[in-house]
Amino acid sequence: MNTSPHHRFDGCIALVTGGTSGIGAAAATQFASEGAQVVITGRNEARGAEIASSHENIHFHRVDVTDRSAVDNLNSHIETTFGRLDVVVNSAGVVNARPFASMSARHWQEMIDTNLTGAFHVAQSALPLLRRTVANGLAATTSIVNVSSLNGLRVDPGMSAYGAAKAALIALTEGMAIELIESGVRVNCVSPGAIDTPMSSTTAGDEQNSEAFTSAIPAGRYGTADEVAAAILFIASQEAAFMVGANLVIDGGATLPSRHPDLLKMFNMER
Amino acid sequence: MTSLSGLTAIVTGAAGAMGEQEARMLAERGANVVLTDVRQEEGTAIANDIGDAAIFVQHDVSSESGWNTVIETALSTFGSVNVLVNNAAISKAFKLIDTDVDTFDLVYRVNQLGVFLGMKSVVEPMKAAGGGSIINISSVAGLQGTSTIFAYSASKWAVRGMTQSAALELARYKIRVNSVFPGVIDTPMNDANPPGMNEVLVKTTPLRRMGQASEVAEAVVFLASPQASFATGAELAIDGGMSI
Repeated sequence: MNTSPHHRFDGCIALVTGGTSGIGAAAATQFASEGAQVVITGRNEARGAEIASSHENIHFHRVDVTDRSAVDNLNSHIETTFGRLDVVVNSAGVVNARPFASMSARHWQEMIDTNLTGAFHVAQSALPLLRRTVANGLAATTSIVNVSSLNGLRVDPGMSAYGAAKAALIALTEGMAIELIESGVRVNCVSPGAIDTPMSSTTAGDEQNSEAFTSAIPAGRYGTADEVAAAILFIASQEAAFMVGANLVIDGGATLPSRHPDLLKMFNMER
Repeated sequence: MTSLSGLTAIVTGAAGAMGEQEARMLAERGANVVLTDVRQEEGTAIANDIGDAAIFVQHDVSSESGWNTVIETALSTFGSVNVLVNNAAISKAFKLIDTDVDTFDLVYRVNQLGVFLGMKSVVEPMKAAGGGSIINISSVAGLQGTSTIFAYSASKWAVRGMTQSAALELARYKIRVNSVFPGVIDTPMNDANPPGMNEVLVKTTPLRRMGQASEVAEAVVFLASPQASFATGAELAIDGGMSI
């Protein structure tokens, strides 16, 4: 997209988990084009190398966010390499639909570990460096942006484990926000709706399923990864310096309707 | 090229501190801006200072015919209406038991009726433009109950509700409708608060300071811009953590 009017992240260091695809990759690319050095993590080495080769400011590290010692090593590496950290984007996530009645404990654990506990590990591990960046006067505030989901606000069938993790991530955002602001670390969250990314490929890639989704979205289409990334950059920038503990929903209006039928259609009223 | 170039924005209450910042920043990022306010002298001075990209129209937001004039002026001067910032509002610091009907009605007319009329007025020109972005300024008092600003809080909850309904209804025209919830912002509006209240408000803000009008304006510009193209019905709190 890259229509941003300015270079908001010159000299900044950003860590983007799940930066090898979808929203994370789009955010990494936008941060890099606005002047930041960007460390991306992911589990897919080939995808990571590909994104890293797309921009000289992007650096890939194969890190599983559920592995605390790997996360700690990464943050030590960032500190020795760059000496500061301005932005952490927790966008690593996985989603699979499973009925509650028959989901395995393993599925439950995977949803919680990657979508929730991973953000905990990354944020807690990065916190000392984020705080030092402020204390050393390198930035007015530093910023953690958690990527939750529409399913953190409204849960669809099959999404009980994923929704539980994402709702908890919103609560975690608020709890962190209120504790960490005193040391100049702003914590906020974005909640994307249906976005056309590899993670949504099972619906977005199928004509019939895709139509079912778009008809339930007032905007009439999937969002793009770039549209979510633009919100992440806004929140992470000093433009949003008074935003603390907020949740920015980017869903084309999908959370607005109740499940009632369309009354205008029912009573033949013109729009 | 900046991200709002070629767009025309209407900002109500633009002679006030927050509206002024919103108008200035929209113009800075390339938009043409129609500033409206009941305060002619102050509004004209700000529009003149912004320059050719700005024009002032004296306007009471609770007047439907006034809105017609604003839209006509925007179209004849700049050729389109793409962004509306419903920013105009008044605050009267009374508890429920001290609020009389006239006060309640006045606050309703500016803060709620004005937002409704504004949204209704821009639908046709925005449809003609192929879409648009409406940003309604609610308040942290539209997210929580309050004990001292009863009518204001009621009107700001109404803004929140109207935003959601309008977002749903207007999405098919590619008109996005979002709301911004400022916390305590450093503007003269706080002067009307009872003694000691502003200190308490800062103490109950986790960031321990008032926000600046420019910090609200940044959120407005973001929501107005094509970068927020998938955001509709969103509720953005710019409150230093006050509503957590």
